[in-house]
Amino acid sequence: MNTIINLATLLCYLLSSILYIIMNSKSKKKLFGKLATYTAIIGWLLHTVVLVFRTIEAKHPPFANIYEALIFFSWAIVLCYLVFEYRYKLKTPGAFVLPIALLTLASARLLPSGYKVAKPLLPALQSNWLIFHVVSAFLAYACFTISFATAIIYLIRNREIFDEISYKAAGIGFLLLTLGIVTGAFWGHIAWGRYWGWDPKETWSLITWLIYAAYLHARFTAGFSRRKAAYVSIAGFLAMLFTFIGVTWLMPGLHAYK
Amino acid sequence: MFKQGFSGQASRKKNFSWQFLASPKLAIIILILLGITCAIGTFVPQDKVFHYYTHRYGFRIGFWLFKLGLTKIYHSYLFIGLLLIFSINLIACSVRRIISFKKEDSLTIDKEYLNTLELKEMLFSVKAINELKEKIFQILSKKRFKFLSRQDGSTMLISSHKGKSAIFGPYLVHLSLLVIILAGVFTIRFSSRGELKILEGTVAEISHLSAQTFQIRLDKFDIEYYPQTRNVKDYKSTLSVLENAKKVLTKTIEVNKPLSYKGITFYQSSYGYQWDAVMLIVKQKQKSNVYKVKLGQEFVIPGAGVTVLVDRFVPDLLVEKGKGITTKSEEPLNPACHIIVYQNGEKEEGKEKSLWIAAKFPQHASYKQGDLVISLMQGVSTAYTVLGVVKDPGALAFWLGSGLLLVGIFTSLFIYHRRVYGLIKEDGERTSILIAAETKRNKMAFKKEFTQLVAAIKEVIGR
Repeated sequence: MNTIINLATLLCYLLSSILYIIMNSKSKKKLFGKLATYTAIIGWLLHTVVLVFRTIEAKHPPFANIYEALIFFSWAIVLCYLVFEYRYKLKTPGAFVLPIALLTLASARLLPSGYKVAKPLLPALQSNWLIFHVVSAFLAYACFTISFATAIIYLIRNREIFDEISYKAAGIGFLLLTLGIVTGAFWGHIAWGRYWGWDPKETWSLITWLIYAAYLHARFTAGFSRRKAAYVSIAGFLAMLFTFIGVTWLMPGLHAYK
Repeated sequence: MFKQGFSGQASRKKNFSWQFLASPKLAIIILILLGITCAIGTFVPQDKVFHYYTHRYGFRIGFWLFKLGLTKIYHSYLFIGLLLIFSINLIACSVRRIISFKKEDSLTIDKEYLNTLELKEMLFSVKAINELKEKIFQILSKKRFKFLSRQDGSTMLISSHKGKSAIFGPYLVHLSLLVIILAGVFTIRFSSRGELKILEGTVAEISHLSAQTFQIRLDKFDIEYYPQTRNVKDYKSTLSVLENAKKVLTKTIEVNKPLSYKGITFYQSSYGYQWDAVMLIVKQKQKSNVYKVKLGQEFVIPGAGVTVLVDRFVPDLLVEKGKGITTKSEEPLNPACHIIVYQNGEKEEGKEKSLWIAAKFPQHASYKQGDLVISLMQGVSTAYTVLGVVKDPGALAFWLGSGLLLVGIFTSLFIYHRRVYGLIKEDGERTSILIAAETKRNKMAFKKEFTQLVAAIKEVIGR
């Protein structure tokens, strides 16, 4: 049952990706656009069921190891994308974002089975702060992904609206990342008595924060051109990817997934 | 183009160093440099000894890494210097903003400037200027705009705005970052932290961190496992605070649930067992007895004619090549002890027999001599807890700064300042009304708002 829903989710995202791409290149935009959105919504609902099942199976929130984190990240990307699509009534970025969500989810499925085992949580992780901290961080990651995708589209198509979405998504991501860092600091404070410890994950999330702070200042206060600012947003996304994936694989620390 | 509207009359005095210190370009440069510095700190291992670096990177590179402070980068002059310039920049930017806002008077705005704005619409009416003004004011107040007007002969300028509180967002963010940096300085300068190991039932003195002395007693230590496994689910210490030998309070702490008393916080850090003794099973002539033998003390086994000395105990036996015998964990999963046995009264070099005996393997790992068999039953331990003891006067400032930061970012993001101008001109029979608007952020959303506003105005002014 679980496997079937998993595969159905993947299939929906694949179909939706294809529909978004067709919509961007062919006529009958309206029809394909509608179909693309509906399949994405169905996929996301199935994805939610997958997360609920996992929570029941693992007896803890579904983001305690890299397998769960990738699934959750993909879920957050689609959620944020659908919100932005609804808000701006613009489907073009779907052709970029849905494939990213698909790849993220597929890479989780392709992990060796050893990574997929649901292990009980260590005492330090048994806290409600885990939920606040991780959910805000991952929603921030998802917003940065939207910002990245729309920045790229802006660089290709040169239409102002994409720059606008990119800026807005980066702004919301920035607020959520700040929330993620602050809740993490608070958690560190009650667990170990220190709000900051220069753990690699902490440091890299600070680096990501600094780059997005630079981006948010670049356009309005420092008068960078839209194109130049778009490159800063892309740099921010790369830093975020390193925070999420690079640190996990390369640097030992408190946040290394076991 | 925007600068003209918001701070057109800003000071023209050019003082290069001031301009540079207060420039957002400097802010961006500093943000990027701080990012790079932080990144170096994650690639160069921090806080190791000098030889570690010369060994790892070669003498020359290792020497310079060490010399330049890159091996303690978050406390280096480079990093502190950057934070200092950053702080100055934050203050300078805020001061500059305050100065430019003071000089702003929206009613002296250049009328030609309105024609340069992107959002504008020309309307016409046959109504008189003052009547039109009242109508437009009604609409503006309905939409919660604040407005002013000035008549100048046959023209009337209306200036209105909304979301002014957004301008406080950046100040709040800048202020909060200063508070956070100060909190960090406080923590580095005035915080102290240490570790405290307390055996179950014993008392530890807390005096070096606090002006007033008090004691902490470990009443009880509990450990909980996941069912059917040895995976630790939770561990708890029941602590009592004592003052002058009187109990003040008792609290059970665990990871994520510390105890605070008089500015000092006690965190559950880890735990362990102090192995005091072992239970030995002694079999002779079909009779079996169990004796408790303390570690490091000679014990004469009654009726056996031998003395035994237990000099080492490991809870979870692990034999490693080169390292000899160690323990795999602190859990008594495979207890073993080293014993020395000799005949009573013959304590001489070479005459004793020494060996390891293990509780799980009594067949192979026991002492056997004639009909005497000595094997290990189990270890006897006292649990101890390890507490992190922290006093951090910077933490409170950090939470204050973090809270302000979140509010500041929220305000800057979701509230935005926008201006709508109206220029009413009598032009013979009819009256022309130019509606123009500007905003820095959220242009798309504002465009919608502007269209609605114009439509509403159009409706009330008639043809």
